[in-house]
Amino acid sequence: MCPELHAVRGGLDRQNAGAPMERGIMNLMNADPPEAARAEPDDEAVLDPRVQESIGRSLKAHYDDLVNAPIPDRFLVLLAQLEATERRLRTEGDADERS
Amino acid sequence: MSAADFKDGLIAEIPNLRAFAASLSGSMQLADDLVQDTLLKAWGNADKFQPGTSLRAWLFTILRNTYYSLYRKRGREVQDSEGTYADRLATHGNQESHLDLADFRKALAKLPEEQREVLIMVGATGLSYEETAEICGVAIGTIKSRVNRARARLAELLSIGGVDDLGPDRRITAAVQRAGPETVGS
Repeated sequence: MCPELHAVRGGLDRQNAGAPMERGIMNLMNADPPEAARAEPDDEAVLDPRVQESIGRSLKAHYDDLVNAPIPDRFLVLLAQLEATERRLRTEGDADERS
Repeated sequence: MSAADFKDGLIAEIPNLRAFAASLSGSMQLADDLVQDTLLKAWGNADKFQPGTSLRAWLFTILRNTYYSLYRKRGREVQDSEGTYADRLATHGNQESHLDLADFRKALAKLPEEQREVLIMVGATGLSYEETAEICGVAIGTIKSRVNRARARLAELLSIGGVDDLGPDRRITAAVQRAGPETVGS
């Protein structure tokens, strides 16, 4: 075997030796077990925790910005109408029972 | 639960319903129509809500079903003609984070709906994986898988990576190589 191949083999052996550790890291970082992850090509990429954190922060920023936007009056008006209608129906129902 | 309590519960959830509807439909105008439909259906089916369970999860289920049965097509049409809300929505905060948020929203809008919705539910709304699975009518494993794919796709779209301190593992570095040499914060 030529020296280059030896070097490659050595590299592979080192990777294999690190496999159990790597799997533990993957389980922590990836919500899917490695076996299931391999089924989907896109799941193979395990993201750096910093990348995950960055995405998580952006998600919250995106969502919270929408949550904090002013609420149009139409929703409160709608619910007030629904409540008033129900109250009126109930009052009429009570009146019917009394009559 | 009295009608007044139920109404107060609905009012408290309106901001979350709008945020989820906008994230799903990509349009603020559609989001408000969607929230209105959701509130009407919720009011009409108030007797079906079980007190003690999550009102948010119940309302998200209604909103999501309404979206997929009535709004999905309209959403695409509105986005095609007006662009997504991400292009127009006013955002708060300083200029730098504003730009970051706009970029993030454009990337988010490019995700497939099934990935975007679970990423939002799990990552921003406070709903659990279990609740999200129930809302979407799929197994928890499916939700986790979609979340993973959504994150990987976002990292790719945003060209963020950077795992130099984690060692030369091919599976881990694959994401970085695909995403380019930029690192977070660059």
